[in-house]
Amino acid sequence: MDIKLEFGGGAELLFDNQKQYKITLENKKTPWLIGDLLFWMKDNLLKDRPELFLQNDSVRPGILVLVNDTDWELMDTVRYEIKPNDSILFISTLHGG
Amino acid sequence: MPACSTKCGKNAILKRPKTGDALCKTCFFEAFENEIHFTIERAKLFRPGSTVAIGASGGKDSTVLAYVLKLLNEKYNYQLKLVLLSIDEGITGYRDDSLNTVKQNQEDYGMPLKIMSYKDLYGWTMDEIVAEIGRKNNCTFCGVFRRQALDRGANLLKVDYLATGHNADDIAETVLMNILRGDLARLNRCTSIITDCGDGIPRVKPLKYTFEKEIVMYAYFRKLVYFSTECVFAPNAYRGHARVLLKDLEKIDPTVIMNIIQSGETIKVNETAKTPSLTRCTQCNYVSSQEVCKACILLEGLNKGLPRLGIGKSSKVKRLLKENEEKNKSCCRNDTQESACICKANLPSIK
Amino acid sequence: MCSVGEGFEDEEGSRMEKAASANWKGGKCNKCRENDPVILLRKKDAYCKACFLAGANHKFKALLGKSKLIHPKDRVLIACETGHPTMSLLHLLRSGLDLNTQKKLRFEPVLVYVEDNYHMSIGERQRIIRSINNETSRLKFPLHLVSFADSINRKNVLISQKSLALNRCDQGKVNAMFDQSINKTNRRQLLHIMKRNILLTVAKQLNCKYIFTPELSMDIASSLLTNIALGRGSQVPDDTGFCDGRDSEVKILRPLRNFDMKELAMYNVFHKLEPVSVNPAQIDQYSSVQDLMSYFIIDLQENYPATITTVVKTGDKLALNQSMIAVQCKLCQSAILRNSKGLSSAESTRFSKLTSNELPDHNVSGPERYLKLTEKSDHSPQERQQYCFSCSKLSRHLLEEI
Repeated sequence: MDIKLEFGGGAELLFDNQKQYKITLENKKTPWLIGDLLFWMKDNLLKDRPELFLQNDSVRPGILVLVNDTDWELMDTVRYEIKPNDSILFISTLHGG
Repeated sequence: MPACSTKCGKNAILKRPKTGDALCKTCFFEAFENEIHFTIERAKLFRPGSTVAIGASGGKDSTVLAYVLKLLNEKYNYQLKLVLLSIDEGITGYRDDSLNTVKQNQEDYGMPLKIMSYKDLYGWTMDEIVAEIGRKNNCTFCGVFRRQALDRGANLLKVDYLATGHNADDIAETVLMNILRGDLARLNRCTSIITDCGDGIPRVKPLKYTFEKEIVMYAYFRKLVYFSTECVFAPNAYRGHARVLLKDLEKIDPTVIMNIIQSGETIKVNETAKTPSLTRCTQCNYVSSQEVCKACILLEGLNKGLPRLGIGKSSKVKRLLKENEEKNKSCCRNDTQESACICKANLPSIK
Repeated sequence: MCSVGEGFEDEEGSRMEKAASANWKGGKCNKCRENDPVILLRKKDAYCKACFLAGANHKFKALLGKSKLIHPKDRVLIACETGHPTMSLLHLLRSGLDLNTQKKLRFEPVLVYVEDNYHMSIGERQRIIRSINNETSRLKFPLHLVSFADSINRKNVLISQKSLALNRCDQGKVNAMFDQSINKTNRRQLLHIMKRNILLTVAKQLNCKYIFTPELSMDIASSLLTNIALGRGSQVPDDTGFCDGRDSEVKILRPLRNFDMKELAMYNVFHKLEPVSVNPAQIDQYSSVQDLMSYFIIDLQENYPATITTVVKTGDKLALNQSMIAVQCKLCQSAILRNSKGLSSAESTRFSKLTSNELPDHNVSGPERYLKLTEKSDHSPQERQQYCFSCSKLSRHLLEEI
């Protein structure tokens, strides 16, 4: 499944300074939830300071998540089922003075 | 350990959190006691010749309070009559041991002791209440009942003052909690060293500026007997956060405790913030901001097997009360059911 | 001993709603009830993009308008910082200025960035200045630059417009202000006060009657708790309220104090604004009171979503204490409290310091020793009257007089 990941607000600093990633998620038996994606990102993309991005099974408070320009809190957060060509944006609010 | 900060030549036995200075045993005792005397004297806590009831739980605060008050009473001739007042909540294990400690205090300090029990006052022990309502709101019951129990006890003994062992940590914690909850009325009052709840017997806090850690150390070095265990029922969740915050602040800088009290004393709440006006409970005459005091409401709920009555906002309670009143209008005529009747006062009247 | 029940009547179940997860029940935008919502605020209010942006704009203008302080043509110094809030503030200002309606903003914003990143490398510091310059020019605002390290305690501050001279020894210049024994809490508090003073100086030099700071609700809440912990309870209205009126010429305003970070971050996303980012330092919540309060309030907010707004509202209901004397604290300009009758915590602390350091004379009686102590305690040193309670402790660590 192909999806797009985007980073802003300084979150890109944790992902090799890259603001956009086009990634392909391998098929698995159960559907891909965002919660699963987070673990995948930790293993494959997260380059620096994991504590600034993840906390327990979700993102750290201060990281906002939008799925197709919509607040993930309107879509059950980590339990949202990812669809093909979804665009997921992570905005950090921790990288400011 | 370095030398005592007073340069008296002796070795220090502790570093006191209140100022960061190292003190030897003698100088620590003297400083500790002098500071409490300073508090009593400057805040004009007691009129000479008065009778003072000391709220005694058997815990470190009240044990140290009783010990030091007796010491200062003699040393500085306050001419006070001191009496111990203890509350038996009826919590198995917790209370049995602490009451024994209070009885020990009575012997050691030679002070008269009066024990008031929830069973005598309200007809229920905390064990019985928890069996009835579970652990969710039991602290509300206990808190309301204890506060009234101390006041009723003081009333019965006809004392002039009620002294409690609230220490600096307690007060700082209450300031923080009231800010977190947005409780402005309490924030305004919680740093007062003398509180008059309107029925004539003022409550005083001679240990207001005494640090909990120093109370523990004083009790240890003076070899005072006290009992310390957390109540077995769950503590108030929100106060727990304020407590953790205070403990963390202490780690960074213990003098923060005095700063918080200073802040609490100098804070000014806008005149428009509502403070409750006082009246007397129509059932038992206890001073209350409502027509029926909280204890009577809670008891009514218990006695009728309706334990949720009385928890939560007053207007909802008033409505439930009214509903029950309607239901009970017929009940009063039935003599055989008088123990469950709302008309029957459960509490002795306060004069 | 259990301390439950110490309230006036009882502890009316300290009802702070604990929220495990979002309280939203689905449906359309709260406001227009037509569109699908794209943002959820405070775990319960859902808005579509248009209503959210309009609401943010309205909230901003309403707070400014309510105060009736700023008049047309007034110059307002905008204290820029890195991060989302400044970005939103600048965009809100720009859209307000560009309006061609009644509601157009009619004052003149003047931007300044006080550079205090002396703990970073020169390269990083230059990058930050460049980024801020880029973002502010994009919004058509000229930017002024000031070096914190070079401006402390100066009656006149050097204000540049093109670039700023950055030195490796800037960190040293700042350290030279304090003695070795100062802890992180006091240091941060002093730096905060110095920054305030620098902003006031810059405002006066640039003819500005007001200063806007980008403080958010969580900053206000955290600052309020910090103030309490430092003994600044009486100064909370000035330190955290909408308006800090301590200076006779320049007032400091906090127009973003009712916004939370998510609101402004989303505002920036929807307007395609990128804030200037810096790598956050490792946070050790036990290193200072400020760090602890910040960590505590954000942590508590997670479980009790009304925490921050409740604390901010508590601050709103506090008034300046009238029992102040006319003398202003040399450091923070707050009015100094008159000596209260009865006993205060400050007095008790002073007495404790004495009892812990005076050599006891065991040739005289206990009561006589006590009398000597109180006589000494009552003759307080004059220096106390130049500073407020909290700043008097800080002033002992300053190596250079303010």
